[in-house]
Amino acid sequence: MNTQYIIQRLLTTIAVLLGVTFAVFLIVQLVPGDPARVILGVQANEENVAAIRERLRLNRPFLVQYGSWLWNAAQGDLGKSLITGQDVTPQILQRLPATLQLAAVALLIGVLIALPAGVISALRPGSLLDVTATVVSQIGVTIPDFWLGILLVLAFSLGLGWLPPSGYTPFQEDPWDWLQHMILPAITAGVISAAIQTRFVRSAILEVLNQDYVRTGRAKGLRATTVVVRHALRNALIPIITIVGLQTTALLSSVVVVEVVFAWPGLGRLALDAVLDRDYPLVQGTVLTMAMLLTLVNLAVDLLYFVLDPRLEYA
Amino acid sequence: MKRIYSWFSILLLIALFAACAAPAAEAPAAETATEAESAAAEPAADAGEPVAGGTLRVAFQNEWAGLDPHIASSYSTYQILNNVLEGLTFYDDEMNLVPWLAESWEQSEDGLTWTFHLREGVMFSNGREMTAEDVKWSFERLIDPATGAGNAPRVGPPETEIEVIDDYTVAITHPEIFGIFPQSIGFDKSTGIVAKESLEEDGTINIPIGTGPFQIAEVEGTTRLVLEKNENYWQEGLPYLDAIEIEPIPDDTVRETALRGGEVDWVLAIAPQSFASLQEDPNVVVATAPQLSYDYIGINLTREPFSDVRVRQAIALALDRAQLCEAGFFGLCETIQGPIGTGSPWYFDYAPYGQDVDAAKALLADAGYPDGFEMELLPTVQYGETVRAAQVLQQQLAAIGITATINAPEWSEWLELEGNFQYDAYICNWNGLIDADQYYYLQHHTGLVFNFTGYSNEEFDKLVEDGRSISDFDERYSIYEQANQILVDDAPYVYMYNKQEIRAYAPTVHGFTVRPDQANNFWTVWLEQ
Repeated sequence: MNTQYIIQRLLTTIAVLLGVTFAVFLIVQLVPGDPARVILGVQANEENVAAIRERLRLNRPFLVQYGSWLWNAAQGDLGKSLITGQDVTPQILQRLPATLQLAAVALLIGVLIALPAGVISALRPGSLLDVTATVVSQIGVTIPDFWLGILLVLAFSLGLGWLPPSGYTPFQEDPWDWLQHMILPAITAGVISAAIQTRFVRSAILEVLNQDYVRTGRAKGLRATTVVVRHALRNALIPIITIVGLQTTALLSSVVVVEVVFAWPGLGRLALDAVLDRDYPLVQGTVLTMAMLLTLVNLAVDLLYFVLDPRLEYA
Repeated sequence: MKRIYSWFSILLLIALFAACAAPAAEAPAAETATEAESAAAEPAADAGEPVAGGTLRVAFQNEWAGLDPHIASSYSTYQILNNVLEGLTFYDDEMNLVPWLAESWEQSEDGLTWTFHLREGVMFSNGREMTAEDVKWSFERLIDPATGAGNAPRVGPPETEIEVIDDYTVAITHPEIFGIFPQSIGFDKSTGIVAKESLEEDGTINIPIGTGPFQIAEVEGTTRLVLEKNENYWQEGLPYLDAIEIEPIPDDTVRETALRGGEVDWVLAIAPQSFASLQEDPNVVVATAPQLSYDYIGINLTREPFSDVRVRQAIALALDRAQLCEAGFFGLCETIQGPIGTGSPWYFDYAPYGQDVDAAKALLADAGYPDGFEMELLPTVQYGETVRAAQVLQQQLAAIGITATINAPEWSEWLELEGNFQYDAYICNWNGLIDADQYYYLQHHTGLVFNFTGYSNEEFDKLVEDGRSISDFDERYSIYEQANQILVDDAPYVYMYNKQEIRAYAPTVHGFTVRPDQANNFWTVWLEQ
């Protein structure tokens, strides 16, 4: 791991962030819809829309607007929401923990289900257990998350009254309440993630179990557990980490649906509302944040490869 | 192994479909508002003495898009501002105009000037007393073209002069007689009195400061807003509540579950399909009132073939409004053929469009379209009932030979299309209208701010201009009766139905009145402790 590699990564990251924010800015400006009209609603005519656009400085050329945003963002100022007038940065920072926590707990649930299920499935291919796991994960992959979420609310909140249907309490305020609010949304996102991960874990392990060195190990008379844990699993970890990394990035973006259903005050929902409102500074801010998050996750995964696989070198 | 696999798949699929069917089985029997027999608690007529204190937890459906009273338009924004800002006049729960921040008012001899005498000792929530200067500042910002306020005409055109006579007297002079000025400013929160300290450096208002029973204490983006009691409120003993916590919960099912489970005390929007099941829930109070509003089809008169009045009338004749009401709002509505429903003193009994498919086809043939034509309907997913109505409308139009496709974009795209005449016919609703002027003037007078159809009729223009320059009810009634007839005959809007206003809240909530103008006023609300 040397300086050249680090610099390379840094430059790539900056290029990615620039590209993403530019593309998003372009697209959101190009699609029909105007923040001035969102504010005015139906109470809009040409003059009013023009007056508000003037006040929100939306008549400047596209590149000037992007450049101005970029210049300020580089100095840490992400501007103000066009709709509410509130500063973007504190809004993002305030909503970020809720999403991170949701994604983390969902991922944990996913991994805790997928690893054992995938391993057992792979060790006994064709058995009842394997078939069940495969079919259940097939269903899990196709279930829409909002449907599952509402079903869980109807069952556990309305039906049994065990859990609240929506909302969020910060962990610092009341850990038990935090957990109660977290369970349903995290299960919704996590179970679906588990379904996807199970299939990959299973095929990763199967792949490894068919390798020569595993057969050699068995032929040598090594205990099954030793073969599985010390040799197979460790080697299967590379593709497994890949899928977990991909799932992390997927979760961070797909939690938006779960956030809307459960009225979870997270970053995903903020981004969605910003796009629907055509609130350009807020869109840029949330997209930038999410892009940075995903870049970090990818970096972490790449570093883990380096730790796990001694064959790899970064020249 | 393969057989086990198939067995399993089939079993699980069956289980899946069974699970899907279960929630759908709750489809409500079409319950009209008149059959209100239920196990649900009725709003308690006498629940004892009001108790001060407590925090009301409220769930809205949509986020508030800005809080600037002069330009914001979202329904959620208005519901917040209703409790923060006040106007010189006010419509009470029975829709009578009463003095509010002004104790009295009179019109000058020539009719051009209205002079208002303000109540003394009314304090803004920041501790400062409201005076005539504040009225001047608020109105002037509203009518200033640079503000871009669609509601500016409620006070008057930009040339309107507002003069401070003394601390508690203000005179408003219009270039032409504005006979219903007191009614006009009683209706809407854009005409509320705002403290100029609310203004930010860049000329926007993010947190308005008013004289109302509550003040905006905390705002977390658009996910949480807390209103706190205005300690300086001019009405003694009010409000009872210490605070109101507002959070939007966009999903209908989750929002209702929150109410039934006791997570929230009061809910803003009830999906009409839940009306029946909510009425049966003893933990929920369901209250209704007839709404002063209408759901309608707005037709683009700048486009062929819709510029031909016969085509528009044909569309109006093709409608089975009862069916539209069933589909759009699950029967919780009154069918109407004009903008004003039977609940209003302004109701006109003029209904020329009873469904008549043959007459409709004949009109189309007259206009040169014996085989019909193709068109696009533009409802919006922002209001689910417009999409449902569009689907039924599509079939009803097919019966007279019109092939309609449906384009249902999200709100901001819909606004873009509707505001720029890029549509054939859109579906939407107007809410919270009280005085006759509000049903006719800004929407249908040539070239005015809410005229989205391009309608222009000189005779109609003259009538509605006269209507707002006079003050006598009977005189105005006959003027608007004529205007209504012209408008309904010309059909730039085809009216469908008038929805019931439905509210649901916990039995511990008292003192809340469902109003036909959809306003939600919380200063008389108290919580059982």
